[in-house]
Amino acid sequence: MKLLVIEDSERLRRSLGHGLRRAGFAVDLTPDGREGLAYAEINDYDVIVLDLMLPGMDGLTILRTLRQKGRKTHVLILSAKDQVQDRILGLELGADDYLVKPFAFEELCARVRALIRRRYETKSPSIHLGEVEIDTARQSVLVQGEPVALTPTEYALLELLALRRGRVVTREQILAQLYESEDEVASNVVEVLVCSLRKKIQPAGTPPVIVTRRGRGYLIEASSP
Amino acid sequence: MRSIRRRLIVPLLAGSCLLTLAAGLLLDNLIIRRLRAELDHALLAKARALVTLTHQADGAVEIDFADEFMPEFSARNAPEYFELWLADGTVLERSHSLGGRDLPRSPRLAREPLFRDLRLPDGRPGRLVEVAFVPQAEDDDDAWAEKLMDPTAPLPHDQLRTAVLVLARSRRELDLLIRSLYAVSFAVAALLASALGLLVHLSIRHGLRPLDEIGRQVETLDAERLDLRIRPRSPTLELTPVVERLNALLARLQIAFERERRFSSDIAHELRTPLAELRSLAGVGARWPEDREAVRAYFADVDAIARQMESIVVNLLSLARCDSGQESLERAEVDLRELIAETWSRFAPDAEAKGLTFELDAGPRLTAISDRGKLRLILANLFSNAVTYSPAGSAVSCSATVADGKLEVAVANPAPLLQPGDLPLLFERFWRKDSARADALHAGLGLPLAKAFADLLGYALTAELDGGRLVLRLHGVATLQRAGVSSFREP
Repeated sequence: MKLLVIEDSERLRRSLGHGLRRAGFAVDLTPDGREGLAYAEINDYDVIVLDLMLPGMDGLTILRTLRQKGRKTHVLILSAKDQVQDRILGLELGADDYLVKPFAFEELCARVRALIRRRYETKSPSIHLGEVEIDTARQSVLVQGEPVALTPTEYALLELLALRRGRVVTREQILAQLYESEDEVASNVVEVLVCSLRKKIQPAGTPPVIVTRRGRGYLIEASSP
Repeated sequence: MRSIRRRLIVPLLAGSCLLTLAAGLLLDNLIIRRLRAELDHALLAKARALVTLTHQADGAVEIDFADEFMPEFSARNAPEYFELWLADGTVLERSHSLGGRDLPRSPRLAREPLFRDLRLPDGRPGRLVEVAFVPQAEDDDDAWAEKLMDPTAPLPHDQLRTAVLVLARSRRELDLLIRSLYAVSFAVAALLASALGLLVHLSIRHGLRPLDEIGRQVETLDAERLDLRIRPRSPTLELTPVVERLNALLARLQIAFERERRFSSDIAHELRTPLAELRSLAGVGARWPEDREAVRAYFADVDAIARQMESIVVNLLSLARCDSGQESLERAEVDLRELIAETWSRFAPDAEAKGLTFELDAGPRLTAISDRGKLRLILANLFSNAVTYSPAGSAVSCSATVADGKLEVAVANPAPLLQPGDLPLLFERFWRKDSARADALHAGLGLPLAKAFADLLGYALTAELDGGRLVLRLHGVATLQRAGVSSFREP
C-alpha cells in the first residue's frame, strides 16, 4: 500500500515516514505543497496524509485541485486546526478523514488502513482466502489456523493481491505500490517475492492461492479456494 | 437604581402641580377680594342712600324712610336690615325686618365705614357696614356732601348732631359663589395637573425613546457579537456623540478580542505541532523499540522540540512581562558599535553557512545611555530574522548613528517574498510569511518581542521595504531618561 505524506514539520515527517514504513506501507514524503500536489497527480496513492498549513501551497488548495481534476485518492487531513468549522471545511472540500494534531501514531495507522479498506470496498479487516486468513488490522496471516511469519514486503504483496482479488495486478503496479523508488530494486524482485510468499502461504495439496498470468501479472481468484 | 425617567417626571409633575395650585389660589383670592369689595361697595352705597334720607332740623334728627320704597327692609324672605342711632345710643329708626331687635354696633365714632361679618337675626350669614355721619341740615350746602364722602373729615363734638347707621344684608349668595369658585378652581387645577402629568409622561417617554432604543441594542451585545454596532433609527443631536463613542469602543473591543482570540489560537497551534511531533516520536519509538538507531535519533529530536517549546514559553513570558510593565530596566553607557559587533558574532556562523555577507556602518564612538541587555535582545532578534529569511548569498547590512541626542540603528536584508501589505503584520505575534511556517525554530515571536522591548526603552521600531530589502529601523532618544519610561526601575 502506498502513501503520500505532505507535512512541513521535518521531525514529524521523519518519524511518520519511519513508522508508516515499519507498518508496511510504501511512503513518499514531501514538505512542500506544490511538490506534494505534483506527486499526487503523477502517482496512484492509496492514501494521502495532508497537512493544511504548508509552504508553497496550502493543504486545502491541494485537496480542491485534486478533486477538481477528478482524482479520487483518499485524503486524510492531519492538522493542528481543531475548530469544527476547519474540520467541516476540509471534509466538504473532499477529504475522507480529519485527524487533529497531536495524535496517536496507532490511530493514524488505523485510520489509514480504514481508508484503504474503503478504497477496495472491504469493510472487515479480515480477508479469507480459503485456508489463508489475513488480519489487515494486526497485519498477521494464518494458514490452516496456524500463524505464518511474513516479512513486511511479503505481507504488503499478499494484502495488495488479496484486496484486488479477482483482478490481475501487474508487475509494475506491484513495484509502484510496494517500493518508494522502482530504480532501486532488482529487475526480478517481484518474481522472487511471489515465489517466497507462495512457499509460506501455499498449503500442501491445495490449488494455488496466487495465480500467474503469463505476460500480464498475478492475481488471487475472487472465489479463492 | 436611579431612573432618569423618574428623576424627570417627579420634579416636573410636582412643580407643575404646585404652580397650577398656586396660580389657581391666587386667581381665586383676587376674584373673592373683588366680589367682597363689590358687596361692601353696594352696602356702602345703600347706606349712603339711607344717610341722605336722614336730616336734622331744630336740633332733632329724622329719617324720611318709607317701606314701600325700600321693600327689601320689610320682606319676609331674605330681608335686609338697618338701624339708625344717635351718637348717644338713642335709636332713631330700625327696619321692620329687625322686629325690634338691634344690630350690633361698635363703640367708636368715625366717618370711615366699618365693614364686618355677622350672623343676621334670621340666622343667615351676613355683612354689615357701619357709618357715623352728621345728618344734613336744611342750610347745609355742598360741603356736607363732601364731608359725607370724606372719611377723614372730623365729626362734631356734639354727639346729638352725629348719627350712626348700621346696614346689614345676607352674604349667603356670595359665600355660595365663593365655594363654587373654589370647587371649580380645584377641579380645573386637578384636570390641569392630570393633563400636565400625562403630557410630561408622554413627552419624556417620547424624548427618552432613542435612549431606550440604544439600551435595547446594547443589551444584545456580548463577547460573541462584537461586530454589531449601535445604529439608532432616528439619531438625536444629544445622543450621537454617545453612540459614536460607544461604537468606537466596540470597534476597539472587537479588535482586542479578535487579537486575543487569534493569539490564544496561535499559541495552541504553535504548541500542537511540537506536541504532535513528540507523540509521533513516542508512538513510533514505542512500537518498534528494536530500531535502535532510529530511536536514538529520536532523542535528539525530542531535545530540539523541548528547546523549541521552551523558546516559545520564554518569549511569551517576556512579552507578558512587557505587557504588564514588570520588565525592569538597567541604565548603562552602551558602546553601540561594540554591542552590534558582539551580537552579530552569534549569528556569523549561520550567516557564513548561507553565504551571507555582513556590512556594518557605524562610527567608532557611538555611545548611548540605555539598557544593554534589552538592546542586545532587540538586535539579536533583528539579526536572527535577517539571517533566517535572507536568500543564500545575499547581503545583510547594519548602520548605526547617534546625532543630536537621537539614536538610530537600521538592519536591512533582502526580502523577496515580503509584500508591502505584510509590513503591518511583521510585529503581530505568531505571524510568519507562508514559507516561514516550515521553520520550526521561528515561532513568529522574535519581532513582536523586539518591538515590545523597543517600546519599553522608549524607542520606535519600524519596518519598510526599500527596493526589495526589508529595513527594520530602531530609533529614539540616545539617553534613556527615567521619566521617559513608565516602568523604569533602578537595578
